[in-house]
Amino acid sequence: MINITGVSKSFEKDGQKIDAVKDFSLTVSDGEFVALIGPSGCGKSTVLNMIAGLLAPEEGTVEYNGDLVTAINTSVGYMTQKDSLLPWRTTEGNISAPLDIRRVPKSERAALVSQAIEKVRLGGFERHHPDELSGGMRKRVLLARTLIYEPDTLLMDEPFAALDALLKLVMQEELLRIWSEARATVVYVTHDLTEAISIADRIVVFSKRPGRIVLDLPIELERPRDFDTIRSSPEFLKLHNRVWATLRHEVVSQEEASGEGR
Amino acid sequence: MWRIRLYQLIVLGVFLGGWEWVSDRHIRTLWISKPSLIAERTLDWFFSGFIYSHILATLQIAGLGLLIGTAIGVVFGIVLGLQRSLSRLLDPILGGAYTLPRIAFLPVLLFWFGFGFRPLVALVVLMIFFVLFYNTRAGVESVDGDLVASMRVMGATRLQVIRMVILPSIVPFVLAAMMIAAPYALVGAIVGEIFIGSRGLGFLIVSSTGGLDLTGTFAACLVVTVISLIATLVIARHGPRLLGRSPGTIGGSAGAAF
Repeated sequence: MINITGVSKSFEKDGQKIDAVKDFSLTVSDGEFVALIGPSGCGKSTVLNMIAGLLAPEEGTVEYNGDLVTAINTSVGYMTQKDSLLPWRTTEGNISAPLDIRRVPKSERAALVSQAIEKVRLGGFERHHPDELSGGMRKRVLLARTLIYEPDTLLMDEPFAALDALLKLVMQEELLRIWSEARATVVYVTHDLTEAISIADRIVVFSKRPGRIVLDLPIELERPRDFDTIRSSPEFLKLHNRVWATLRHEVVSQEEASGEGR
Repeated sequence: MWRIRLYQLIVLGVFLGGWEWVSDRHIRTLWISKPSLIAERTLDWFFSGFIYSHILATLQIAGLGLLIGTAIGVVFGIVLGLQRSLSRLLDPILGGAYTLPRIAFLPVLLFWFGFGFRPLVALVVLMIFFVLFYNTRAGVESVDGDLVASMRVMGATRLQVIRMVILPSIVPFVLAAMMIAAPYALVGAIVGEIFIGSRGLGFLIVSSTGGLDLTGTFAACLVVTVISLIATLVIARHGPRLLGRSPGTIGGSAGAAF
């Protein structure tokens, strides 16, 4: 359970104070798959960073399972758009990094790693280094590394944004397949509306900066979801139009306010 | 290519030939020696085995200074690379220290460390410290902040971040800095020996000159040049392989998440 109450956070840019989020509140229940969507720079990532304990709010509180988040929150797994793999470690070595950190006995590591590799379908690439892997494979390594220590919550910040459209679809399906087994809470930042509706239980639409919630909509599409069927279903279109009507307004006014997307 | 090589050889030949011819005809050999004498002396040193202990002495000082200077520079580089505010605080002081004429400290080092090889090693350390320090710090600062943040969220302590991310990331930076520093270490050792050495190539240079034996001076310089050339060739050939891996992604900052 994640409980964000009245948080504000600002940044300084070129000597100017910019509010990323202001008086922002959000509650995420256990096992929920929530997509945060909104214009670029609306504070979505800031919210994730605060849940992860990487940023402290200036006002308000972030509670995680009832405890105030005041230091780095190691119960979460964090996956960003960037490849944060260790370039000098192999696939196996990278996936086992959290186990090394947590001092899991060596005898148990190998079994856990090979299990994780199987789960993300990377068999045969155990001894490859990241620069020998394709973009999609690197994402699989990141996913396996994030899942291997079984965090109760996955924070995902546009994890597949750097991939091409087709690969992105494949990875979204993979994520859902793995998630349906792990059943972790997921907070998923994206600015891809189709992606958000396809994978999430609930969509939270951010306003332009400073981010507030302008729409909080449950996505009651049946699981397991088959992307091909749901994306052509009338419910999907209805949800899409509903969210887009709100989102469009925010994106347009953000563009007008800042002149530039970032 | 061979044509340029040929011209280069001709230029060198004309220079050495002119020197050989001028010496003793227009200028006394005492003042400028003679290429043939220098070659003879150098070969004699190598064949008689006289030179090896001097080469060894200089290389020991340069090598030891290089290792100690690297260790100190890397530690400072890591600490200040991670502590941005401390780094900013000390920056002008370090910048000032970098421009100090370090050879001027030799008497002080002598006072602190006594005679023998220790003040010379200390001089070499002073000569190369900044190269190692600045490069290491740049390496630490170029570590991807997101990488550090992701390790921290996985539960890594600061020490684990240093061991698992920072240290492997800076290896290429440190190796590159050591390659830049190696010739400085050699120069530092020789200059130190010129002032206070009792053996080594620098001592050989100064003692030969003191005895008005310029043949010995030039022969010792020739040996220094040959050693530097060999070192440069070895580094040029094997350096890239030692560096191997690229420094990884540049950008972001480790200090921010650390």
